[in-house]
Amino acid sequence: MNGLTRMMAAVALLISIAALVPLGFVGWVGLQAGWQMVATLVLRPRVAELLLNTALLTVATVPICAVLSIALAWLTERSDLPGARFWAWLAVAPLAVPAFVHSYAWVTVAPGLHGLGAAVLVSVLAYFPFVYLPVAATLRRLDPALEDNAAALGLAPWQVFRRVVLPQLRLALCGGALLVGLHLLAEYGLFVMIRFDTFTTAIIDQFQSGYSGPAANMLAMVLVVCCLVLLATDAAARGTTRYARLGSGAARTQPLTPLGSALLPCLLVPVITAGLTLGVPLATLGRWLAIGGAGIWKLDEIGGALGQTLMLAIAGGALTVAAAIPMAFVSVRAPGLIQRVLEASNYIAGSLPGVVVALALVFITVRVALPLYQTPVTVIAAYVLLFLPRALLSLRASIAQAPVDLEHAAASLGRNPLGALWAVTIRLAAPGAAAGMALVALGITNELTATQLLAPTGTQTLATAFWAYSNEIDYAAAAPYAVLMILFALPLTWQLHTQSQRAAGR
Amino acid sequence: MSFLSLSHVSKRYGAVEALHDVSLTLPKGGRLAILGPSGSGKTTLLRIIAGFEAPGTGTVLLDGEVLVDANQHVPSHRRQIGIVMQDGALFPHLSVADNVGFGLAHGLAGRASKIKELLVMVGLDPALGSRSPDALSGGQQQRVALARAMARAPRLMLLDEPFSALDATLRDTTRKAVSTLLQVAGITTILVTHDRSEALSFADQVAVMGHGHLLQQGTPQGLYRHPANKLVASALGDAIVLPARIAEGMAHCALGKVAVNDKTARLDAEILLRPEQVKLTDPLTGPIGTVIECDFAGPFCAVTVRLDGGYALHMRQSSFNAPAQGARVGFSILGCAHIFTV
Repeated sequence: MNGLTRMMAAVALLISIAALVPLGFVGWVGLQAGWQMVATLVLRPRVAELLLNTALLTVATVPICAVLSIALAWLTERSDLPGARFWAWLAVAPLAVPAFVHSYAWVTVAPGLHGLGAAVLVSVLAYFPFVYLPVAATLRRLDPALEDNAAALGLAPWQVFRRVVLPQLRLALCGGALLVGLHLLAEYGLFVMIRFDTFTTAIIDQFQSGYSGPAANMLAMVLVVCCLVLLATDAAARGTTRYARLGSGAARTQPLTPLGSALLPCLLVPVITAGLTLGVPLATLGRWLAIGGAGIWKLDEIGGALGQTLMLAIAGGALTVAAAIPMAFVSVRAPGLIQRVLEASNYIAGSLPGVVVALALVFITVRVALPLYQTPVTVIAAYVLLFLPRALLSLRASIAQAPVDLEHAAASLGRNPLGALWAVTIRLAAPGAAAGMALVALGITNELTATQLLAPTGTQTLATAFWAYSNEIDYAAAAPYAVLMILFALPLTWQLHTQSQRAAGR
Repeated sequence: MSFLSLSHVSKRYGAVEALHDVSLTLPKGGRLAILGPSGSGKTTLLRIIAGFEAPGTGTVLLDGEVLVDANQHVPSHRRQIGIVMQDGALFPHLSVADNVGFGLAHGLAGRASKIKELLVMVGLDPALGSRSPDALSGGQQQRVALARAMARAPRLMLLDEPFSALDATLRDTTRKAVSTLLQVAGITTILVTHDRSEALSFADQVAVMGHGHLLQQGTPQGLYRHPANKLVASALGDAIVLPARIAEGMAHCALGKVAVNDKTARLDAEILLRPEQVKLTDPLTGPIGTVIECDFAGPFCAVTVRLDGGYALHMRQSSFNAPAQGARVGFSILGCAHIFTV
């Protein structure tokens, strides 16, 4: 390890420790309260009810997302569905609509919609692309020789799908399901709007109704346990089986299955999905915009929210990427067990719900750094902790593409280590850093829970303004903010779509 | 009665004609090698036989049963045709034993012992069964792929360049092992390859393909000695092709008078000599040439001789009596020259 790497490692260690603060907070709160207190606050019917809600929601939503994603992915990637590329893009596009805008649309369309059924419906529509994206990408990359061989070994097409294709999708399904599960645990706005109680909504309830600290903290503890259970389930479900293609050379391109007479019913799947995921929100927004007319475009107010959002998004994005550089650098250049543990701690922190991170920061600032309470510093710190994994993933990939030899060459030409790093590696990693920053900025634009709990009084972002108006049932006034959030997110979802296409060489 | 017969099989991919009117037959227990450069259509032909693709036109019959014609297309899972592909295409998510047993019904009595038998048959330690395929070497993976295909006692075995990903030594031993195994089991086999020595040593029938056409089918010796045209001749080995006049039962060409197998008199014939038929001698009688290049390659030298008439000949000469560059040499011919029928 040279000096530069050692320095990077030290910074990475500090950041990883900071990333573990929310977990530490939960543990500390538990210890502090003592067993008696934990028992009274956790072992009560309310917590059991929330647990049941969470379990039912997850158990119902994840399999539906999986089935819908597999069906759509097969149709768009492996069949001769007309306009397959177009439908593939429409299957990713719902990600541009924030989850709480999905439920805002559904509550408008069907005001009576609430409870578990509604929660499952809106969750599937808002989150299934998280499963669709990896499943479609994997399906596209599968070597058709495996399916040919299975057919030659006497398997009918349906059996080939079940015994060869489906097992190959396992990692993609696990990854997508984990993302959906984590979002279900962390989401606030979606479930409040359709009146479905989860830990996150209950915690914020407790917090806002007279700051019931200990009760909220205990709920956060249970929520963190749920989150860790999800992560462990995912790790177990992944298994250790290898799925990478054996052998050398490039795989033959896949033949498209002709749908024949099944074309029309098959076409209904993407049409109905797009109608529910995009048609309903867009039609609702269009309707509210029409009803609101020119009156809802209060340009000074919208401009203010836009400005504040941009400021938070850019500052948060830049800071998160900067914080991710040391970790990404160390994990690429000096991989090892300790580095992997550090990196994993960043991912675990990033998978914690925003409300837990927010509570931890409230707790800490109130106790030890009161001047920082409800300042931009705290809210941006929360963003960094929440979105560090997004930046880390993009940066890692692009730093890995900048070989250390180039840095050595720069050093031999007279640059000092930091200079060489800046002139070569950082420059080459810039596209990855930019992509990471965009992902983080998008996350910040749509962030609701941490922003609500931590931002200075009077802060109005697009998300919080939308939320405030729709809480006052002024749906028309909320519409412009939703439109702006969608417009911000659209280019990014387009990029996700083209990226996954390019990965398969299309 | 032929066991496998293809008649008038054609296949187009858009504007590209991958196969043009291919007909061939193979008796039961026969071993056919399809030889051709990449892009010649040989793999397409194999995929049509396996049922992975349908031909545009033509019929395929196996053991009297129609696999493909204008009206029907038996799907590959009902054909009972085994296939081993270039890099094995083992299922990465299954163990070696599960790969081998993939085509066997789960409830089959003695399934586990059958899998062991198959592993032993292809020369693998049954203990490898619990490994995952990526823990095996390339040669072992190919043997597993063969065992997997053999498990279902296929009526026909297709080998799609299964040895080409292996290194030279492993390729020879694996090929011999596979060849013996299939011969003992009496399984009709088609091997697709672009390696002429592989084709000649493996098969009792060779079919040469080029640009989607089946150029010629016959025994290895027959095709080597009596190819129908220059393409087939050079597909099977190095060739010396010379224009000649046939008169008085001999060919008159740049190498002088050469014995021929067809004594019909002709003015504009082309004759084929294999380089090993031509021996360099002292420049005493007949045509004379000059050695313009002599590359040492261990046991032999690659010699290029320019005849005084202008033709350049490429041949191999034992490196122990190879001529020096610039030497004047004469020629003697072993056996008959082959005349291309036009």
